[in-house]
Amino acid sequence: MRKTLRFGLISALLMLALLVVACGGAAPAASSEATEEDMAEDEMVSDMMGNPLESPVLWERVASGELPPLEDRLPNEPFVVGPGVLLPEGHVDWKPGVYGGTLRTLHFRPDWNPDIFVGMNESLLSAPGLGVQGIRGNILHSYEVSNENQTFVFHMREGLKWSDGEPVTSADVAFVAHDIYGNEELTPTYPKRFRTRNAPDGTPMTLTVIDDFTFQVDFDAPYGGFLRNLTIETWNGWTELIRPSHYLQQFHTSYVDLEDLRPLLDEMNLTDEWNQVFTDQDCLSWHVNQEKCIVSPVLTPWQRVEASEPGLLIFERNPYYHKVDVEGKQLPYIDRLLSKLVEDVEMVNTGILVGEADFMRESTGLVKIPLYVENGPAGGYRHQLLDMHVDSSSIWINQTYNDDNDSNAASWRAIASDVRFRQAISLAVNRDEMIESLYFGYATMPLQTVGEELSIQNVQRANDLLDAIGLDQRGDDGFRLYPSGEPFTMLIEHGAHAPDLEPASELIGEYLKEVGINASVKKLESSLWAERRNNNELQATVFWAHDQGWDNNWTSDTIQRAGYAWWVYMTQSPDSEMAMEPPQWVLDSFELDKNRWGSVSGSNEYNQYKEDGNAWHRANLPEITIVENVKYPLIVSVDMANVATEGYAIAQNFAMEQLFYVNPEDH
Amino acid sequence: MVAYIVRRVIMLVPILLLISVVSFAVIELPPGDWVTYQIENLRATGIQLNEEEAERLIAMYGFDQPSWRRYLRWMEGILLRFNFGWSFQWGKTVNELLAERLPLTLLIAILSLIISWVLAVSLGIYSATHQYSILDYVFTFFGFLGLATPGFLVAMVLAWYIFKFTEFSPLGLYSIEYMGEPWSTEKFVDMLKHLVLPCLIVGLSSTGALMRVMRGNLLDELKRQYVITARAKGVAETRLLFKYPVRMSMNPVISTVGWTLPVIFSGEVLVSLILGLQTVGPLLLRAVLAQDMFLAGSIVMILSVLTVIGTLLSDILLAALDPRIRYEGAAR
Repeated sequence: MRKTLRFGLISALLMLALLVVACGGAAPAASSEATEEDMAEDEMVSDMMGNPLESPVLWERVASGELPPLEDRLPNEPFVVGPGVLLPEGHVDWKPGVYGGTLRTLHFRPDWNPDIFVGMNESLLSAPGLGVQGIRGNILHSYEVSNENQTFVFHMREGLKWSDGEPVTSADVAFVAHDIYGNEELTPTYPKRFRTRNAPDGTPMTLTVIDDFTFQVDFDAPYGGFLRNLTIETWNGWTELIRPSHYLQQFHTSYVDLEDLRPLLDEMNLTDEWNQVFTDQDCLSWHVNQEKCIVSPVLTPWQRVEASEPGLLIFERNPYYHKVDVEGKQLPYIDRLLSKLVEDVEMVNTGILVGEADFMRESTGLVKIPLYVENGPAGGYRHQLLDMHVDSSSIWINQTYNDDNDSNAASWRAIASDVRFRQAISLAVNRDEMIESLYFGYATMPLQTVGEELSIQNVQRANDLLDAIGLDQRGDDGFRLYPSGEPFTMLIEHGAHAPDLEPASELIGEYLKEVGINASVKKLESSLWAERRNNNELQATVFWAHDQGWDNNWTSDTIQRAGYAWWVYMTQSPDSEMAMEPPQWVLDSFELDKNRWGSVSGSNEYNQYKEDGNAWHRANLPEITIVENVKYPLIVSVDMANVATEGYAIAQNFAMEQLFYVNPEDH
Repeated sequence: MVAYIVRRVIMLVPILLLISVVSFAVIELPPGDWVTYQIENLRATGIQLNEEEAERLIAMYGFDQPSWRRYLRWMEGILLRFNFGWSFQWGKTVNELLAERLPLTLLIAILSLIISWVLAVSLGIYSATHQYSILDYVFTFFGFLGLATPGFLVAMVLAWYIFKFTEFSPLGLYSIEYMGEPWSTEKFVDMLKHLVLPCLIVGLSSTGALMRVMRGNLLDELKRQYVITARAKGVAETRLLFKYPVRMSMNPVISTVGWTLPVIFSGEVLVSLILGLQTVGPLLLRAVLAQDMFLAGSIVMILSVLTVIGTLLSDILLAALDPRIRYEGAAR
């Protein structure tokens, strides 16, 4: 009702405004505005050349006393951005930018714009281009490692402030460690990341606060990958260790009475589940698009603000953001982000074509490049081809498939767990054709994960391998039979997550028929697909896997694709009804990862474990990768600068604070 | 009449309770829940949640509790506090979400309803009184066309041609340059321009059917004895037409007026989707897809309740309008 009233009020005010304009009231108003601006300009902080060091939109707020001056808002030592800092040297022609403008884009899921999420997220530590080399501070200032990678001392950025102006101190870290991770109602299972070697059964860390800006983390065994785990691994952010305790305490029953939370409990129709109320107020790094982050203090370059229209996301600059450029100008350069909600990914692309997107990564498609090129000049945008961090299609053969309705499930498991079967499938696939037709040539053979020999189509060898593993009998229809004489069928069920899943699955189904495998392809609604996978009922599917060059990919992750029941056994519980005991080669992958997590990211030892992981992949084919190094079109406004020309598209997305408009007044 | 209405209202109570159970069950039935949907969403984006994070989410959103308990809480909130519960995907209450969207939904629905009724009734009357005239054929042709063409298709085609020939994109409520900007004359004009298309499409989509019904009924009525008698007695043609036959032939229109209540509330779902309008219809669709159960359940329930109430209203209106249908008869 409040909103309805507001709507009426706005219309009434509008009429009034129209009258005022009609009566010629506009001219004096404009001149008074000008004087205010002059006054604001006196307050602005500038460098020796007279260039402003903060965005003009903040001057007025500083002049009115609403905001403290820039030097009181920045940390003592801000994070300095220049060439080669956010993205590796050579990936972008870096220039210092100018302030201003609105970045407009579109999204199709309520309160979820993945591009804005990635662009706003701030990790505790960082490395150029989301890599593993050169890990340094970000939200945290710096670190020291000792005691053979078991003791980590972190120095916080002194003077760093939350977006509401409150200081960020070690009390915020202690709050997370004790009141959140140490509270079973809020954290049923202690996070793996803060257990030794990232292992689900590892011992949890010991956190000691040394002073207001220093704290220490100890593990009971070497955990060299811990620093990597505080950079962008699995898209975590600052909230892994730092949350605004001054704000969140009012929702935590260690600090307030349950009855004080009654209005919030009532609002959510709850009785005493204060943990649900707390969760609803707790703005985690991957919630930055959500409504709760309007009021919750954050550390991001922009912060969500109230919008007048439903479905619209608006973000305005955080005056306390901790990064400056080499000239001392506070980042970000762009003042505002705005994203409009549309129906689906196709409508997002329509929006791109009519010029409504100044930046778009997630929802673009290689298939659409001809359209982008045709409409780019009129829409004022261009596309930049960059690397994709995921390979959108690999074949998952579930070696532990079990479905009560399928009497052949046990025979399937026997065949599928023979590596020669997976090799035969890899050999049956015509990757050249797929690269040309699905990826327009912007992809390579999977040399790292499959190897050259098994990547090139060889129908004869595929047939020989299938004959050798007991699938040599054929039925009247020409398709292969199980050794028992039952028809051998393979159902590929895929979701609707990405545009290439369907054509890729269809092509793969055709290739398999050519080697006598009776394969059928079925498209499932995505949540049904997930449900069937979680129940171990998917026989085979086509889905993405991380690019092997991407360091977020860990060898053991492939086990959930190789055999879901093994994954349950290893990561949930061996006692689970669904769990099946994995063979040795599966156990090896977990051992490889433990060692990789134990070593220092980017070190020779680490790289050796990574290469061992690739060799393990080629030998066992836990999943059958179709292509590697897929390219990805990034849509940017023609007026936008500091856009990467090399590297991962998502790395450019992550460095959004350094983007700027050459002519900000046009945006 | 009063006794009849009271009796009908009392009969509503068990129906409404049943509706609430069905609405909740419909949303709970499909496999998975909002948390699985959310995790899949992140996975599709390339964000792999740790197992323990998934476990935490399930507990934090109360999905580890039995569904009968969730149902009881939901009903308790509605009955005691008029709180329709929490929307997981938007992170606010269902009440707030509906309040945000109702003004636009009502505006479009009511405007288009007026368009469709004014057009359908007047064209229907013209067609019936001028049967087999050229204009009758023209209206009939367009009436059938309107009947056969779904509104969303018209929306798509028109939106594309408008963009192609005028470079004006009629999607959404404002052009993107006015979104999030304070109100101004330009923004207001821009909004009006965006409203024309949805109102016309939604309005015209039901005009065809209504016009045909009006024409058919009126043709029947015009051949009745009482019309001939009245004409023989020298009643003027216009008065003759509007006094009885038009009133009688409105019956089917009035008896379905109750069903326009849920339509007014939800808006034309597909047209809103295509034109990118933030009305209640798309909200429901998203809620069902995302298994955002309290939001979806609440909208389904409100729609059903409005249908039931609308039917009651229709019955009362009908009794009031048509002397032949009187409440004594209906109540017996």
